[in-house]
Amino acid sequence: MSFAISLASIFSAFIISGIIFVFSNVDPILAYYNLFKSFTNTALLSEAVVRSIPIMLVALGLALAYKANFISVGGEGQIYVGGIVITFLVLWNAENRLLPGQLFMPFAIIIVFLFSSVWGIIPAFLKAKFETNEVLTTLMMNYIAQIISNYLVIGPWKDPKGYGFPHSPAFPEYARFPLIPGTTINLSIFIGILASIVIYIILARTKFGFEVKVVGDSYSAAKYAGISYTKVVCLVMAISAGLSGLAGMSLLSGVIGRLRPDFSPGYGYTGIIVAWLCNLNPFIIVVGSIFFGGLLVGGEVLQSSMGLSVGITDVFQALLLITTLSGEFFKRYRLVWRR
Amino acid sequence: MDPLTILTTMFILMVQEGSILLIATLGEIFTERSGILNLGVEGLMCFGALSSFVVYYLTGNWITATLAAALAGLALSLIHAFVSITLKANQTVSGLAITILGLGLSSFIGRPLALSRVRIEPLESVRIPVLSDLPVIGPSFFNQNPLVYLSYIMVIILWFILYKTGFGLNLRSVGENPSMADSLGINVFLTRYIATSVGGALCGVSGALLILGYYPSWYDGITAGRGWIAVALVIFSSWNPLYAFFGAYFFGLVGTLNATFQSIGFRVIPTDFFRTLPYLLTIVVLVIFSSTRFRKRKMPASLGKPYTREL
Amino acid sequence: MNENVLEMVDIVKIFPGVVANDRVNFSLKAGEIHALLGENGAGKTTLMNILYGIYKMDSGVIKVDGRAVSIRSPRDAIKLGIGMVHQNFKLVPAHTVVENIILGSENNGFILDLKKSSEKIKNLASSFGLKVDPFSEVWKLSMGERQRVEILKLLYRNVRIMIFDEPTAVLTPQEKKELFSSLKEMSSKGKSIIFITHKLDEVLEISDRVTVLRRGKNVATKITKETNKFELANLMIGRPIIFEYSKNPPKLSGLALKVENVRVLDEEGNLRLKDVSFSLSGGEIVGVAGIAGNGQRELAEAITGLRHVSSGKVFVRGKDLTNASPRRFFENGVLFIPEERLGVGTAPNLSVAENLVLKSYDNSPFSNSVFLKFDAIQKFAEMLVKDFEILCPSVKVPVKFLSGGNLQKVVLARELGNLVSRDVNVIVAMYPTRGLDVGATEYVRRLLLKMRDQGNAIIFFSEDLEEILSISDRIFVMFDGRIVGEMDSSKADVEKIGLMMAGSIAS
Repeated sequence: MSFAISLASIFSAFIISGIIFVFSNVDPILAYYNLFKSFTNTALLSEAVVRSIPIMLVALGLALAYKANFISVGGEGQIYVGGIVITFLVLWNAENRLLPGQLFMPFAIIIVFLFSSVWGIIPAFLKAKFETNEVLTTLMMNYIAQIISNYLVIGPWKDPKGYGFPHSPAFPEYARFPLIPGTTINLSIFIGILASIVIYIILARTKFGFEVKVVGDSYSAAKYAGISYTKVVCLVMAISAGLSGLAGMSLLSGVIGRLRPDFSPGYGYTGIIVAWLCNLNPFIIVVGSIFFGGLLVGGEVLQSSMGLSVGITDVFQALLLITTLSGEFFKRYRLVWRR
Repeated sequence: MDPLTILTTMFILMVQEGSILLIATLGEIFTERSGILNLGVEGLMCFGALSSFVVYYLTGNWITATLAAALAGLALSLIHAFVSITLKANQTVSGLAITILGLGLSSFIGRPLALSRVRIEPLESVRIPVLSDLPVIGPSFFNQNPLVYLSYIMVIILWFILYKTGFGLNLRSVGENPSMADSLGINVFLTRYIATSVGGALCGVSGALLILGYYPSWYDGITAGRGWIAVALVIFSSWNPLYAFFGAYFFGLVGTLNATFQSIGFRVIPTDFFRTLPYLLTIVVLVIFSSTRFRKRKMPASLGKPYTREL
Repeated sequence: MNENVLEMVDIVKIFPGVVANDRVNFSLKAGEIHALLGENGAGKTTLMNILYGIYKMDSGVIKVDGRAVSIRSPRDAIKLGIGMVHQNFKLVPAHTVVENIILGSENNGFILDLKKSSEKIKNLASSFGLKVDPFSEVWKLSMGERQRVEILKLLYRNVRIMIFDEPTAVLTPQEKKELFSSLKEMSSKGKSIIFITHKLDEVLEISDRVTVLRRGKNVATKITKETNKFELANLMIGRPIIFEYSKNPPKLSGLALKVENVRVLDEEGNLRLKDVSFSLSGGEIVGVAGIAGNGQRELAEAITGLRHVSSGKVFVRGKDLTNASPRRFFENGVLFIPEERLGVGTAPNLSVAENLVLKSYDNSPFSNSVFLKFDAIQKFAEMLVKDFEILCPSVKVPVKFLSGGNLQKVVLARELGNLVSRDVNVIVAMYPTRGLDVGATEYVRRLLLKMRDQGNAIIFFSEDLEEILSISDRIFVMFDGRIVGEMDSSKADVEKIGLMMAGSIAS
């Protein structure tokens, strides 16, 4: 029944965006065919998986935060922070040559995670101490991170040999994630898969996961039980932002190969939708991210083949979220019925 | 440049930026006073901006264009109203969805406009006699386009509706204690629907002011987080339209610093720093005004909580 | 006097699994005060919510002035001249008295005329002895004043049939007297009053007639003058009530809790506890009387680590725990049964088992340094469920599906089921029997007494003076952030306690 409602929600999203297509004089069948082309074609599917990596990392972190009822929307900014940190490390090592190539990536992963964590702890701490609304603080920090990143790339970190193009120098080979042979998928996907397992274990098996659940269910009950709200949300956000930071690193070291302005096309926001749609379940998130990766690729196919804006993928994602939210009402309703 | 000219220029920019924020803040205040948290402001603004741009481009009539923006904001906010009032879903998530939907729709529909670099003539300023001759204040506050004047009037109208009319009393009561209002025969759902759609329409209008007034061509992400700042301004204004006036212009002023410092050739720190200021300041304001001492008694007691009638 | 203004005939209301009203009959004459008596869950409030249009009845007839009517919403009820003063006041604290009173009234007009409305309110207030300032904000008013606002709300709408749901629960004895004289004033002016209560003394004091409900059924309707306390008690419970709890004399062991000059500020910086000092020994049980909102919550939270103490000291068995964390208080044997069972005492969506280890999940045998041990948690939970007679389908159901009594047992089981310190624990209980049925109430009281006999120190807060008198060894009275009275329960005097609760005298 509950599964049927989920299906109906997804179906409704298709119908509504279908109507939008019709109104924009686009053949909806053809549009959907293009939108889901990735799932019929190995080259595109491999591209979909590539897109899914940052989405996956962000969504996994957000799921943990949402379990603690901390509604972070800061994934996008944390992606930029991750991008800034990895670029800094690359430039720093290029100058000082302190790290041999084979040690660079493990070291970079740790440093990116840590610095992004610090960025993520800020809104958590502000909420714990001053009750600031975390949706607003994390969002504001997204703009700040993006402005800083764009400033660096057109200012001090601009590639002197880049013919005036606004980007950093290219990352050396040792700062790139190797590709899985025969595909365009880079190895950072294993960070995502590992993260999903770790998040699952944290939530299902550990004392910390228990504390997260209590805090998420009732702030007062947690306080009464002697669980420190500050500690739990700060830790949750440290992990969440750390993972989003790695998403930024995976974009630069895995795909783009250098820092560019506005390098994330909104993966941080897509992550929010994926986390909710996958019911905050870490394993479903892995699958859901690949689906959304495909959707993003499909959006580009639509843009190049039919001249439609990639914005339509955002529309479709938002509609999916809205219909799923609406579906929850019917799931609840059924529960009350039965009792 | 002499200081007076600089100051006047700053003030003109401040009023322009501030009025955009003001209309959206007023809309969100109206919505939140009924107990509905609509985080979709950014999306409503953006979709409103696009709609008014399209209509203005086609008709050349700014009133029709503004109405189109209001309608666009209203339409999207009705989705939020349905999901959060009728279906009682999580209002935060629904609001985020509305933001993404609004931005996505605008980008989808606006793509041909963005590609063809269509431009419109910005709205002309209307000089208010006598008042516009005042130094600094005159050219900034009283020589603006009609939508800016609308923002001033809306402050008074919304304040009056909220505090001096029966409907306003109903609306505030629904935001404080819906079950009580319901027991006194007030239609909670209808009141919340009205508040959400009127608020959404105002957010749309603020988008119209943004694009018809100051950004004569369309590009993605034109709202640049102003909708979110408006949401924060609601807290800063303690949910009162009169305070929103001051809050919005204060933020308007901060938003002009980048341009001002660039124009006077300030080089001590990168002027990009000033671009982060509105966002940074929003966080600071949230920290100050979120502490219980400031907020508890002002925030509508049922904000964000869906209302279900007992059976 | 003999005309029935209201008749409710064969009213049936079924909630999933419970018949709340089973062919209930009720009639009301013009100008009478009619008490509706019954214990919690007898169906009194359900019946009145049907009359007021909040619930829809499944079958039955309601007649007003002899004509059958259909009441689908409170608005319909008010149009028929029926109004209700709820147990939890339906007021907006942030709004003024006049705004609260005129809200929803039909003759408001588009633009409000607050001045005219306030004049009308003042006139009504003076003719019924209900003094209150129309332009004061409601949050500034006392509970008694807020109740007057509720009554004025009904009078403003020309209501003739007034329903009062447990109106004395939040009042001081003095405020209660004033309420009763207003009620008599109103009935003498032709208003008909329905008075819902479970307190026998109030029935005898105020009503002309009394209808008794038990488990959703009519038991009897009596003329008050022709009945007595014991007959009513029998009718209400179906067996004689035991007012007395057999108690062993206290066997005091050493000092368990010592509180010295404690001051506490609330979120807005107001002083809510003003130099509170007392001490509590093992083996004794102290009941704290007082009107809600006079610092009880702050005191309970200050001695359990939930609230910051701005000055003063809290010692537990000689150890200074001032401003220690709730966890440390718990580890030192301070056990807390909070006011809100759901949302504070338990996390609603977590299971019974998870809630039972909410404070001990950190320790062996329930976890090691990182992981939880589900087998041990489940075994422990099943043991407590058995020991405390908690009714639940399994320990895995979310606690939000449990009844009030069972929920309280979950809290009690967690706090008392696995005593942390072997020797003397300090048990802090806030309103431990509020809203429970008779069986569960007796269970809780007996459990507290048993804990006392085992040598624990107990302090509990209650609104029910009878409860305080019957189980405590000593009684504290709180008013305005202070303990204004302290006495031995054997020498306690209800009248004097009442005056202390109202702040009129200090001991």
